[in-house]
Amino acid sequence: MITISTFIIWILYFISLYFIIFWLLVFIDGGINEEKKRKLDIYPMVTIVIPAYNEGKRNLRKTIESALSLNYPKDKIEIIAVNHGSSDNTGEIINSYTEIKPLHIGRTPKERKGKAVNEALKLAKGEFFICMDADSTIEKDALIKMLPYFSDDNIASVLPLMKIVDPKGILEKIQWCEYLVNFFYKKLMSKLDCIHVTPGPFSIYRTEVLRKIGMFDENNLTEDLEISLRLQKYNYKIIQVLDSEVYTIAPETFKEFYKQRNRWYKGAVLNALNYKNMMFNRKYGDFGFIQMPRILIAGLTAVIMFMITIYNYVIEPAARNIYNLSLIDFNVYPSIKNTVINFRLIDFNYTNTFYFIVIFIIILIVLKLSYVYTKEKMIRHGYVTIPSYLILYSLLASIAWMGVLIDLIIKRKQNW
Amino acid sequence: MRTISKSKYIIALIIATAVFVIGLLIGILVTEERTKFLEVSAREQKIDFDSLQLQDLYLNTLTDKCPAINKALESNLNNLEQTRIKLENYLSQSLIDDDKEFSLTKREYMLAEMRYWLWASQTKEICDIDTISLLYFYSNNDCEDCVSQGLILTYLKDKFKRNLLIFSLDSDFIEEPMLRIIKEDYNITKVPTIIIGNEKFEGLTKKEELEKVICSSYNKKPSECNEL
Repeated sequence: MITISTFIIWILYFISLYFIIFWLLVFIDGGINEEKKRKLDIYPMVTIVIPAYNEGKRNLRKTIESALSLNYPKDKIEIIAVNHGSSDNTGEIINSYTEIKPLHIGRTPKERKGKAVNEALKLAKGEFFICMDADSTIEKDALIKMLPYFSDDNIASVLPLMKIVDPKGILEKIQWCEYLVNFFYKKLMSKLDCIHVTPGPFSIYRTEVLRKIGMFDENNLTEDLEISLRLQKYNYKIIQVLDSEVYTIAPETFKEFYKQRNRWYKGAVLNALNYKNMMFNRKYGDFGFIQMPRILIAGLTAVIMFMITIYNYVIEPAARNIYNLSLIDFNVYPSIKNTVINFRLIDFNYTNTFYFIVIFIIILIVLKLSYVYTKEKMIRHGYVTIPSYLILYSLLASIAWMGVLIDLIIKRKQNW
Repeated sequence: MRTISKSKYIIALIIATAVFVIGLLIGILVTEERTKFLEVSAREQKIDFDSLQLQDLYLNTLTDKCPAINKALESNLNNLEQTRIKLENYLSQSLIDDDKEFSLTKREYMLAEMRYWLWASQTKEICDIDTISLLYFYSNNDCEDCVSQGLILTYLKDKFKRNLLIFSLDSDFIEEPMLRIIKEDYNITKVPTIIIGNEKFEGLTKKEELEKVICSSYNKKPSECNEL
């Protein structure tokens, strides 16, 4: 007899397996080919905007200095730091640098980062426009390495490989590992023009394209995700590269992590719903067929699998067993003895064990590939990183997704 | 017009389906192995019972050998109970809702339980042995209390060991006429129900209550009853 929960788990397992196999096929078919590059004979003008809202205590200085130290002709680079109505010393920090253009704007409650970026975009002189979040630093050669990828007028954005800098706690290490996997995955997405988010730290855009499609959404939770969906809608290309790296910091505590993911995941769902006409639309190719559905069902799948697993293997047995064991004064010895003495190999549930092993092996393969293509050593940041990622990541992400679902159902307002 | 990787969608579907089907096939193979195992065990049980009958025939002439036969009965019953629990477990995992093979095997087990039960009451009279027979009616359908009751009975069996014989009967297994007769005889309408001697306990019965009844039924109380 198969219970309903087993049946649901099997369906969700099948869907997850399908997606992983699909992306592995994308990898197998031609591997990770480097995109075409053009020669950078003349250095184009570049504008870097650093939006900052109460970043005084964080890494604003490091970010500005990192932008200033880029290996690029100084007269071809324009740095605009936007103080978006901060109440701390962000403005003073920005003013202390004479090499950058300060921009101080007020802030209304509904405004988000998009507003600050847009104000800079209006003034930008560069042919290329870079948004650089105030918690990131970049390698010196990033511009020289990334700009040649704009080999075609249709390429609207080039994204660097993002890594977490100096992860200390276990939560940061898990995210460090997550980023490697995600960016390997994004590289594959890039092959099929399926990228749905151009992250805040150092994504390069064509200024002209941004202006043409109407700049950033100023009230959006995740304006970087919205702009990518819009670029996809206008059939522009977004390219992920793995040969230049940007470093960002990760939330250290679960509370911060939860807040960040709540914003990301909720932003993904809400924005994808706004662009739902692209779903299964032939005009948008693979993006419409595989990526849009994934954005929308990923969270639901995670939450349902998480809830069923937790209920079936933790809550229900715990509740039942604690009551049952109380009936026999918690003397479990007789039943354990019987189970052990009479154990036979055929007692295993081989179907589920097989499914588990298959998905586990595939995940290990993906993990290994991610490390290889992001040029990291498996034991970097200690032996605990990978096991904790494998065991805890899905749990953490599911909890965040569950929060998102609950919020969406009761329509809770979100503060950035 | 953007590209659609149609061939990859199809290949991924084929591979994912293949993995899924292989998993199900493994499940079916295991089910077959389990059926075989249960059938062999059922045959063993039958032979054990035949042997017991023969022992009885022989021992009837020597009444003082009663303890030996009681010991054989107890160990046979133990084996039977353990394989019965396995059978129930396999049934709950079976991919096929109504598995004929399992169902037939289960019928054999139910018959064996009843055979031993009758046997035990007979030998008890003849041999004058101080063991308690406990008849337990359970169900595998929506019976949370049966899980708890099963655990309690395992506990009691471990406590009283040879002095307590437990006979478990699936109350839902009405395909078996013999079971229907016993159920009617004892007027079983609920699960779990426990019969000890002439007393009937309906619903989940706590171990303390059962211990009291079991102990009061012995002619000579075993040491396990002292703490009560």
